[in-house]
Amino acid sequence: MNKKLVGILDYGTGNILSLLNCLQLLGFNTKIIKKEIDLEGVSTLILPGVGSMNFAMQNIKKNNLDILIHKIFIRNKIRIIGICLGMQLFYEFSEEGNTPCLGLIKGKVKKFPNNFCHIGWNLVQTELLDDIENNYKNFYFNHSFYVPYKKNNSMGITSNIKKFSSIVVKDSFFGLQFHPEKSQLIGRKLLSELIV
Amino acid sequence: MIKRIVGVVTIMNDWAVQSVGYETYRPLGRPEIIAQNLDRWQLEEILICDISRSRNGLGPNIRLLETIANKRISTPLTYIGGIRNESDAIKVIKSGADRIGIESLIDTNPDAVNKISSAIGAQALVIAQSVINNGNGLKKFNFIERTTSKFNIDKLLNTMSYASELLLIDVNNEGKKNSFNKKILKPFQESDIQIICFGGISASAQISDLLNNKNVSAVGIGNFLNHAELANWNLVKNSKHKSTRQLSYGKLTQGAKEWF
Repeated sequence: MNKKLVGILDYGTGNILSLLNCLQLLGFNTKIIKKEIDLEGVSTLILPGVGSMNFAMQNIKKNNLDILIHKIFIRNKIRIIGICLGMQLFYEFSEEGNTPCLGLIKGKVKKFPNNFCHIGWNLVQTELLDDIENNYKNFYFNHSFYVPYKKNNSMGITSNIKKFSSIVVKDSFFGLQFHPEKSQLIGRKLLSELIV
Repeated sequence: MIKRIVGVVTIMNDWAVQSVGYETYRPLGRPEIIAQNLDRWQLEEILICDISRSRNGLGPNIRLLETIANKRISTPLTYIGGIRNESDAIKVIKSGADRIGIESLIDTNPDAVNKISSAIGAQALVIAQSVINNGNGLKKFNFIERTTSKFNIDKLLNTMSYASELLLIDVNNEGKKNSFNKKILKPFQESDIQIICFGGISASAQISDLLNNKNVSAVGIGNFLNHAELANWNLVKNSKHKSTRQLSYGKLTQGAKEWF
């Protein structure tokens, strides 16, 4: 039994139940985080995805979670994993509703052209999961906005009509554009490797 | 882009049913057990379609979704049935669905479609349309009243700007082997809409043929996945479609590759 305590930040949106079930299946202890005091004992904090940017940012600000996330990010003591929207929140600005975001990572989240939505499974080119053949590194994506590829902090690249960053790393932050909790066995394997 | 095989589970009064043309129903069993099978078989997506909710004026089946989520399903889940507004949509996502689908709401409350899309994002919204083609053009089928009406393509294309995919249901052929009517795709050929085809899809060659259409992103299979263990694997392994996901099925553990 894995005794690590993983926190899931509840910012009013996101597929919390799916994530909780996935983490419990992997044997982690879990806790829903709504304020700073809830972080006691948490070694990894996950920001789930699914939702729209302006709706999420409104909730985050209303509950002063922007201050909390900023503090955790700067202190660099807790591993943060942002999933999908939970990753995009860390950038400066999103074209989704022209929303100013948390601004902890430089750059803009952009909209795919022609109302394109990237739904389904796609390959992630990454050196993570080095015991799995590259052809099988398929994860589940569900997004219509993306982070343009930048060499300095991309640990995973994916292409559809655009080439974009599917895994982003900065200090102890890992951002995943795909949903590991919904990517079956390979997703669970990646999550279990990233959680500290 | 990898194309998807979607396992469709039709629900009526909390039971999974085998449906023929949304007219005849035979019970299959507990929905959560069927969803668990589809997860174990590594379908690309599971679509839970509760046809008794809107019909009976009920909201979404949250209890069912929680029961399915608590089976620790790690396959993407889309839910359709009874969603009335953005509050319902958020509840459905929080209860374990990754995406939601709506059908009658686009006619009964078009403002709600915009609000739902704003709350959960267009990528998480699927528009379902049940259609019939009897040789004299496409007709929209109202499965609650069992009536047909003119299919308004312009109105639908406008609504699709709030959503990510169109679930196109061939009502006449639903539940019948290898019978999906490709003619119903014709009005969408020039559009950029991504379509999930459903209704009468059961054969490997048929799946290849449908997935070769540039705007068909997925095919939904319902009844025909319940006839054999690992039915999806048999549909894909001998087919010619190269655009589906590569699964090694390496060390078989009843369908799932064991990484650990």
